[in-house]
Amino acid sequence: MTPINFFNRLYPVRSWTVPCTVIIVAVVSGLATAQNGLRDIPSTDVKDQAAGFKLPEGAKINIFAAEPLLKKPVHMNWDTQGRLWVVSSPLYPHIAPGQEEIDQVIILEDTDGDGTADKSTVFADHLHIPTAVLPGDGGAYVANSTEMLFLKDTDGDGKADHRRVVQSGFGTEDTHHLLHTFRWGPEGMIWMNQSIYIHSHLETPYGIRRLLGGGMWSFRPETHRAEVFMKGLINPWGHVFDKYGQSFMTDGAGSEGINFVYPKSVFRTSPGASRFLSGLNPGQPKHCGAEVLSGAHLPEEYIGTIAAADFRGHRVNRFKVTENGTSAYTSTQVEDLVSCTHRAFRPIDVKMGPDGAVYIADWYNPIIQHGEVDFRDERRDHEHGRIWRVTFEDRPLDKKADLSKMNEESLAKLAGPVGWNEQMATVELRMREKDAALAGIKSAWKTEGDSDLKKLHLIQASQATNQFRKDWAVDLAINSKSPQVRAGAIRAIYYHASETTAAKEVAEKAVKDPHPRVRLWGVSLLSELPYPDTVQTALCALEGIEEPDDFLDFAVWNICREHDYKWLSAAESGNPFETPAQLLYAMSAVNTKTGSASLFSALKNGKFASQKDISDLCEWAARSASPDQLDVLFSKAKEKDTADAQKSIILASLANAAKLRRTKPKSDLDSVTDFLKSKNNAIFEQAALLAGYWKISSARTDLEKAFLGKDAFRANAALAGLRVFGGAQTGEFLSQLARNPKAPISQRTRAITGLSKFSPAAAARIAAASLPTFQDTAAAGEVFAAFLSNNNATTHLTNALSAKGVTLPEPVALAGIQKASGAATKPDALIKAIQKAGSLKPMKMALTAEEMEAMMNAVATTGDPHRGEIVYRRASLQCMVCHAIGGAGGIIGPDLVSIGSSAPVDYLIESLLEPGKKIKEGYHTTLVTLKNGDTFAGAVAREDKNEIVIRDAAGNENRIAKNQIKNQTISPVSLMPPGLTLQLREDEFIDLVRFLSELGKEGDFKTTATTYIRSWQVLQPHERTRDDIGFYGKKIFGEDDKTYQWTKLYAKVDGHLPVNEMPSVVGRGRNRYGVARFEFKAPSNTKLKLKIEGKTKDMNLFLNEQEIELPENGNAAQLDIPVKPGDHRITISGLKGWGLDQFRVAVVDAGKADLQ
Amino acid sequence: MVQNFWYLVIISAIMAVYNLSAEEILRDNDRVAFIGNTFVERAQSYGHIESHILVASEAKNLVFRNLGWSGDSVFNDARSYFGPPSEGRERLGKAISEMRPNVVMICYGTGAAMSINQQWTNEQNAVTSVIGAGLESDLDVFISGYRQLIDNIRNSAGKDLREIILITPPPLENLGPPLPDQVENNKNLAAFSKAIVKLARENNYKTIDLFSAIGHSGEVAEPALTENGIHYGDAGYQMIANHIITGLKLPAERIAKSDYSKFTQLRSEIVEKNRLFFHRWRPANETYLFLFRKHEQGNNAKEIPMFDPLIKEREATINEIRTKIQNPSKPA
Repeated sequence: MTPINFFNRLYPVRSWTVPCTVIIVAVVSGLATAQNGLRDIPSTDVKDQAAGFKLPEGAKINIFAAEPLLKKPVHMNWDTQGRLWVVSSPLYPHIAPGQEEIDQVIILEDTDGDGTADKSTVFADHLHIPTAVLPGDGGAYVANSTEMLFLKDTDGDGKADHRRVVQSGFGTEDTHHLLHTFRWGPEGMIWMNQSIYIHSHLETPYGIRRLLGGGMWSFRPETHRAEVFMKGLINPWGHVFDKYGQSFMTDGAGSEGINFVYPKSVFRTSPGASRFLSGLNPGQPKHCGAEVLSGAHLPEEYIGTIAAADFRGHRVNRFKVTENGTSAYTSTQVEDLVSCTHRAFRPIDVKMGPDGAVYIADWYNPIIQHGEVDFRDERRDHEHGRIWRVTFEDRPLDKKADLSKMNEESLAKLAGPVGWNEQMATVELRMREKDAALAGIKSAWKTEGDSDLKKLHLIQASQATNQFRKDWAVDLAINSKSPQVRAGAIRAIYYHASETTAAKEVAEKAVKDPHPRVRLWGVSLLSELPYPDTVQTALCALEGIEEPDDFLDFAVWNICREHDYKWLSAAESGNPFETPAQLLYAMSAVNTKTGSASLFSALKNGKFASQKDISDLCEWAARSASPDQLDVLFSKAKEKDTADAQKSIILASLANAAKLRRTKPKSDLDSVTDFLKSKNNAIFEQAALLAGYWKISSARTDLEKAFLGKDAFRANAALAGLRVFGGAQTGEFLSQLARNPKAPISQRTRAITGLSKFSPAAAARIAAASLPTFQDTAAAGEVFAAFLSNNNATTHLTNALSAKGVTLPEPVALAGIQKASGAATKPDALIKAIQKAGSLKPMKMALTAEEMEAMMNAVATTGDPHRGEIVYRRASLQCMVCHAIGGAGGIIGPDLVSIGSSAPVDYLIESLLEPGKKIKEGYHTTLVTLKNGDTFAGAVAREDKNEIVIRDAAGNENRIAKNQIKNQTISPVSLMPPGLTLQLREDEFIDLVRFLSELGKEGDFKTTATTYIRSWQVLQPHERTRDDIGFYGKKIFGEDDKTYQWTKLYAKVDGHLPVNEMPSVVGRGRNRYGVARFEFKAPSNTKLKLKIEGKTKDMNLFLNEQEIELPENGNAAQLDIPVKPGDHRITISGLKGWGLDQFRVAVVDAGKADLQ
Repeated sequence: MVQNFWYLVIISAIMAVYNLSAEEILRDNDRVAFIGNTFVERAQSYGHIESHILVASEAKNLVFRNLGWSGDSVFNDARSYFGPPSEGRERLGKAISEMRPNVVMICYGTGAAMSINQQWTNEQNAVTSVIGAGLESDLDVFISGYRQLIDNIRNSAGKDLREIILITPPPLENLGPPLPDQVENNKNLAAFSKAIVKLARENNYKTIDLFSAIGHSGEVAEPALTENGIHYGDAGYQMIANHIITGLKLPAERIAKSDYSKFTQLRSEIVEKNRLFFHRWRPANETYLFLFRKHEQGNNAKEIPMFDPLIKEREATINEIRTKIQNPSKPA
């Protein structure tokens, strides 16, 4: 075999150091023998897989079923007899031409009760990628691609002979997004979910129902009513009810752990949504399936926790969900239920079993996904599949209730949302004769009178038999002492809102309930009611709520929009609400001008004047205010008493009004020049923009002066102002500077980029002439980027660079190529022109199959993940700007917390070299082209009917008026620029891949259940510490000095913060410190328990400015820190160069403090 | 099938509704497209309509393609995937231009008529005219959408298109509680059907007025022909197939005279052909095969046309069985 130095081919313009070539030779010669290892296919033997499990103390695991009893389980549910129904899909991911529809529903039975299945029956076959099964109603409901089927065995031979389409019209745009996650609710409805790429269109007896994108449906089989419950999430593959009937969902591609959902709530990626809610665990692994652990067999600490399968990380996580005083919850990750080192263990569903054991469906596959890995990839497993069973030693198993022998009253007493027997009792009750069922429920009601929770379950049971007892629910919703029960009872009424006469009374009481969750459900109930004043009532729910409560706020915001027809016409002639603030809230929610007259008259009368009022008004004004109204705001900004922060908010609002709607105040525009004299940067920035938008000639001198000044922030702000100012005079000013070889490079760069906006042809000629002289490749990159942001300008630059005699030095050309090949517009002509001018050979980023194998082998044999983490953390590589690991880092790209355990190594290599080739769902680039040729690429942050906000790769949000858009497409280009790894040596590249490939696997690079502080702010060197530390001591680091500059630094995967990565802050003499802090909130008096790990002798710790003593010696300290209500910060300074290389802070118990 | 007395009674009743003339509408080598919503889509897995036509018609080499899509509207909402309904129209137009049908049989109206005052389409200009605007407004929007739909079909089909046949939606049934009462919806559907017939008359399209033919009393047929009041089951589609062939001026007696087991075999081959065509024209994983992630897995799109020869094979079998049914005396 001939050694191939593929890296030289890969990056033809860079030369590699000698050791790399040596490695390559070594690697390639070892290729033949390493074939199996490279394929990374683990042994399929059940024993080998079982050997890889790690379990908590006292737990054991056994195989319940494996092939040939089943293959490729996708989803499972129990029937009332204790048999496990599984859908099996060897067909996934795509049927091949000529292939039969071979997928099946299988029933597994443990007939002798020894904990392993001994019988497997094919209940149904000829299915096409079935993704959910739910036994009940004498048969089973099955999700079968576009259809939901009901299958039934009518002749008792154990096989389905009756097949009925229950619903059709579910989308199939992606076969791991299909209709899934069926579950019976305590109220007897089928709950079912769909994922991000699915668009479903159902014809129901109640009208057409459409769900575009991800979300959850409820469906009642006997009435055929299907309704959308919530929207959004990427892959909502898990859903559970807690004992009060509240819903929690997991997401297989979002990374926010447990999501609390309620009616009409909207989460990330829901198409066309202008507001999203967040999950309860930002930065957590992604999950498939969810189950509330229950029963007497499991140890106490497991009960009530939610188990969710992290199929990427080969483990089952657990979360503890607790009350936090808001309408939502706090969710904390606790110890895993199980994890496995076997790379084909893919837990995709978790269910409690009839014996109290936990059953885990293992899809079994060394690779996952088919978006990023080829449909026909030969490593894809189509043959295996397992069900595992977790039990605890020395604890008796639970007893399965003999449901078929129980009378209706006993079933009713047992029925409930949590627990195997409880849930199955509901399913059994549904199959009983209706009158008998209701009689049973009524008798149970008489004897269960003292427990409100049991009463709630009986109300749910009455719904489960479709004989809802409204009277009970209304009574409980109003009179129960438990807020959780009140909320649960309102949820029961919610499904029958229009037919429950007392619903209005319930809702009116609920919106004033002491508990925010009851308020949330009150607002949800109102949203289903026809009364004219539902919005007025709903707005009461926000009164007296002190802590931010996004979930409650969302519900109120949503009803203002959904019921806008009820209040908009009243707002034309006055304020239909109690306060101007409520009116503004409703107006902002629907983005309307209606009502603004009464708002501005309140402003004039001084009845609407708080800082918050003005800020909220500005947000609205940018989108909707008239010139007269903008005048009022502009005058407010000019008033002496108005605070600086307020001024800049008003000016920003005026700038956005000019940008989005070309609307400005009526008079005295010239006075904007006064603001250009402000010392406040934010005010200057907005004033510069306004001077440009309003074309204030008298401001020109100030702008030009700032442009030429030393302050980069002001120079950029002035450029932004001049750019929108435009005109011949600006052009002349910029082109003179751009042509001036003596002008500083930063000025020339600014001048050329500015000129490109309104005189692109001239700017392009100047760029072509001056780029060859650029020494600073970053500046050259900025010039290219400016031209790339407008199609017209791109064409001019292409022409200018193609002119005869234009040559570019290699580094400049490379900078251009990097920008151009990452542009969403795919500017092929410009790329060619740069290559020609720079005499570059076309870059080959792709590896041949041979090169890829050699590279994979190198990663496996020589790659060092610890060195790789250091490479990953390099600022120049920018990984952390966009990506987080376990929530620490940027939010532009996917969280990489378990990328190593989910993505094959070749995929990782490819993604680094060619980011655009495979793009994770939810991370596609939207390309918006304006009528003037300007382009904006990024993720859609939010949108409404007038405006779209695009978040670019740098995290900037660009607000764009929809009427200026020429077209909008989903670009096949990744937000991740190509060529980021060009700067790496080959060994560094290999280390980096190795590091990524270890993320989430058992070992050093798996985030644990211990919560570490991961996002830190580090102090930049500052004159005050240099000058004053001698006088004040180290406590100076803990001060909240507004002139201190703090930048972000994220902890390593193991939670440590490396001291040498922190800026050196000068202390006394030669002492240099690294100073890091984090902030948190406490709603009330509480105690924060932290464990500090690191050489404590060299560290000092401050709560705000108060020093908390650390032990003189040792490597760890446990601190109990009492904190008062309010905002706090903890600052740690570490002496550099004396053996303190890193430290970390574990949160042992956050108390009531909010550390997120 | 001959034995079934009631079957003959139904057929005679149906024939009384239509004014039958001798000339058959279908011709040799016709490619027939079915276009519509849930009603049309679900017909493919029963095969009654196609099998009835094949047995009753004398036209040779008929080809049928079911382009129905559950939950679709006249604006083609359901076909639009990630985009606005206009993308659904493009998708339908593309399928039609590839097929070049000679005859299109279109049935729309159920979804819209059941969603009066609700938002049954996301078509931008139509949304405000359908939310809470009442039957008249919904009907106007529906008919203008229907015109646009037919224009799209004509433009995409090209010169081979000879016949446009509008089918009025079958009526709804009242199955009693806990299912909702459909009397109001049925009244709306009657108005929609009337408007569809009017649209056809104005433009010289043919009609098959299923709604009138089946009757719209709102009563429950015995046994119920629908599963939930709106979606027809096996017996329902069989009855509808008879209405369709009568509407196509085909003699229904031929069905009653045909060999039952061969007829069943024909039907199951049709269902299988339809299944293969479903994977061909509306495959799963479109996102990766043809849409914005095709740069990742688009190479797998090469498999999709490989369904064509499989469909052809099935059609050859269908024709063989058809010949046997139509010429029972000839040895195979």
